[in-house]
Amino acid sequence: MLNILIAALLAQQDVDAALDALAAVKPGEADAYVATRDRVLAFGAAALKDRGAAGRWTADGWVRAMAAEACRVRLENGELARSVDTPRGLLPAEYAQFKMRAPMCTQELVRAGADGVPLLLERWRWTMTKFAFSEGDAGKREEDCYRHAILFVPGQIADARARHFLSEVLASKDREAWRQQAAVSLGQCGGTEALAPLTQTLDAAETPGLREACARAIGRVPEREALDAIRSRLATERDDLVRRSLIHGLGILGSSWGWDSRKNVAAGKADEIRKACAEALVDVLSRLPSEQETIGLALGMVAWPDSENAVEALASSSSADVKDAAAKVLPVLKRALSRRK
Amino acid sequence: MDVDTNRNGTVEAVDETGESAWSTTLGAVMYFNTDDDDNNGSEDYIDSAVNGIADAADLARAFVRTYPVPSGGTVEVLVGSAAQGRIRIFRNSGGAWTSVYSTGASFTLPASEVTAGDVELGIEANTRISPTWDGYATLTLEIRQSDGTLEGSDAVLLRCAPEILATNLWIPEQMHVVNVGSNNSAFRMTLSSVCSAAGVTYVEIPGGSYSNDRWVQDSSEPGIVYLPSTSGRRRVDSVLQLARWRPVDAWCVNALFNPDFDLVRRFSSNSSSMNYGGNLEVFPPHTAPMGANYPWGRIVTGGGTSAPIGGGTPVTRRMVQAYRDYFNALGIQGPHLEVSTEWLAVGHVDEHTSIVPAPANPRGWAVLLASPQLARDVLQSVADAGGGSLTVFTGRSGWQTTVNGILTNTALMTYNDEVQLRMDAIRSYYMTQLGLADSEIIDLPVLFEDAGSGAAAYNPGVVNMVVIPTAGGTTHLVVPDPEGPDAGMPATDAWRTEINTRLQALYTAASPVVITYADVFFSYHTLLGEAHCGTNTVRTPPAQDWWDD
Repeated sequence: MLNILIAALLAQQDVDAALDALAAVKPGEADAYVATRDRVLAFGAAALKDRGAAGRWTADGWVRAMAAEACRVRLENGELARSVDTPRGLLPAEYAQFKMRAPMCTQELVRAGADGVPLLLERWRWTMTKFAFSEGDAGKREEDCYRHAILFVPGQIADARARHFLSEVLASKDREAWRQQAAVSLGQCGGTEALAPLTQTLDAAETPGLREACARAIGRVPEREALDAIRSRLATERDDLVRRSLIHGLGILGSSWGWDSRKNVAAGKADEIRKACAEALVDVLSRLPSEQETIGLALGMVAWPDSENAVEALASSSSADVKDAAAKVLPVLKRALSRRK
Repeated sequence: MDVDTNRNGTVEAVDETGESAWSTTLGAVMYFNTDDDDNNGSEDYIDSAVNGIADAADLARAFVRTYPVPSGGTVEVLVGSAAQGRIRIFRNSGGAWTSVYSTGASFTLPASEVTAGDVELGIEANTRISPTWDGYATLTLEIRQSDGTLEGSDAVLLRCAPEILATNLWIPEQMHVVNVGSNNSAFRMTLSSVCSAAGVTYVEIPGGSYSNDRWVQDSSEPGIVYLPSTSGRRRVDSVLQLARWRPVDAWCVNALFNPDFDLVRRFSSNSSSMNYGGNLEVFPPHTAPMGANYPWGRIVTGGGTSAPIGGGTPVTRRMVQAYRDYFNALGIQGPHLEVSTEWLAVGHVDEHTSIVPAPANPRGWAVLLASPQLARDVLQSVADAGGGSLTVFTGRSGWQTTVNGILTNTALMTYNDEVQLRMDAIRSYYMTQLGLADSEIIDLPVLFEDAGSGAAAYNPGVVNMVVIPTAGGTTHLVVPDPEGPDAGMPATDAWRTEINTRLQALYTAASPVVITYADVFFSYHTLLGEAHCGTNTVRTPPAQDWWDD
């Protein structure tokens, strides 16, 4: 009995050591990673289960937990691992049949669900070079598609485990398109933890594109703090595109369909945020009537009943610009409200 | 000089009246001779020969009437500057046609022949109508004395018949679909069966000959050209090849291009998906709110400028300018409309809009519009009745989900909230541009998802259907099976039930609808297309002279 316990203890130490070694493999060192991973896989899925649990995906521990979870999924769901490792939409013979003859794998990878996420993050960090992309430009398009999907999927399925990975990409010197997608996904899955990296990047980044992505990402965080972050910046933002994305973000944050989908959120919180978004949008309309198109869209998404009266009041404004803008927004809003009824 | 001014197929003395102008009642018509009467695989206008009797019949006739040309005098025909180099003229000498004009400002005829008798000319356009040529050609006969003094002149005006694109109200004759083997066998079987019931010739295109490129709708757009003849209007079929540059684009060249079947070859090197046939539809005849009349309907393409769904830098995506210009220059179904599709991954009109006969409506047709709101409302009703755990896309490995799985997917729902706002704007656009009432635009349940590069139908896009009206009044609709939840007692697909109710309301007992659902899930839908995308149709045009309109 004692021997068995000692053996189990040693085995646990061995698993942890192997996982430490796996997590310590430098990004991009695919051969070293795969060799080390084989040692981890030998311990079996049961040994990995707790080590990859969601609670271990912390700022310091997420790489190790992600590697453990990726190994576990490989052992327990080989079919899914194969499909995530080799998305059909990246194979030239497959995507030649698509309506647009271009690689496309986001939909299939989204449908792989949460188990696919650690595999995707593993691919991004270590084994991208192991994928048999086509030669030349076609291969570049395939890799771009894969990388985009890896950043896209955690946000679509709201997998909060990926928040540190996405924050890392956002803060990296990587290609701006990746950083932009990381921002949006982070907003979708990171909760309030996402707000600090997003607002910091929004306030400090030099490129408008990245700032714009952060602006629209903040609206994906379904919290009162996100509303505050948007409102405070709307008053001072000078870049048109960023300002428009902040407005758009209010629509997404207050989206009636979005709140309807969050069954576990108290109705009071949903109403509070939607009402505040609607009020903020009406306020923006009165100050920035030139943004009426985006404001109309956002108000339509929020579809807060009281906003109709507020916009009608603006339609009688003494300012011709505000009056005109309100008149254009009203039918959009009315239609959205009538649909909601 | 005379031409067939009164459009009765013969050139007579009476044709002198109004020969130099063109109106709804008078004016000669010529033909862009782009069929292949000699079956040599090349458009007849390309060579400088008249290729047999059928090709001769394609030439618009002009007669230079007998005239005593003064000794030493000349006979010259001047070609109006706009048409120079864009038409070819042949002379008939005892049944043999020889080319007398292809370029330049004029050509001459032997004075002796004009003196001896009527000289018969045959005229064809050898260039398609475009922004730089509206299809009109003025020919001016000048007879001069030996010292150059003008003895007399006469001018005639001809107009090139425009290509007219089919609408969904035209009755199908042939239905084409690409056979890619077992992957689309279920769809083909359904389509074949419906075609049989509707009396439509069903034609399978061998996929192996076209790298299994199944998107035949995108390859080309069929239509017709109407010409005057002695037996009334003469129909020449036509197909416009689109700037797509993929394998099945050759199908229209190989299978349709024939004697009396025109081919307008693609004329842009651009290969954007915005140029595909799914992004080219025709609204049926109507009078727009501002009074403009479109007796042959109005072409609509998709495109525009807007931020992607969810925000970001605005993008502009449109059908390539050369084609949009072509539609406008034809002058018969335009100026074309452009409706917002730039936010869609593929970017096609037929992803969110379809047109169907609607005999129960005073107008006789209706627009079908994709509606995330309706799709969601139906699911919500199912969930409210306790069916939240019912499966959607049942049995579709990797794709199956549940009603609640959809309704609680925040990314998906927020995305569709915004898509619905876009659809609201499109509805308003149709109401404004076409004069449709709200009740003439019918919502059908379609959710969209972010495909990474834009929106794509989440459930099989039911709007993207095959529309088959028949001479007997029955309309057959081949609708992508939405594969919604089976709810109620007895259990039926809740999305289908809603679709059936909405579509059946457009029809009458005398002019009923037969709705057939087709499996497109893995054969088209997950490849970003649906039923309409996989078919192409040759249709019977209305018996109506375009020159009268």
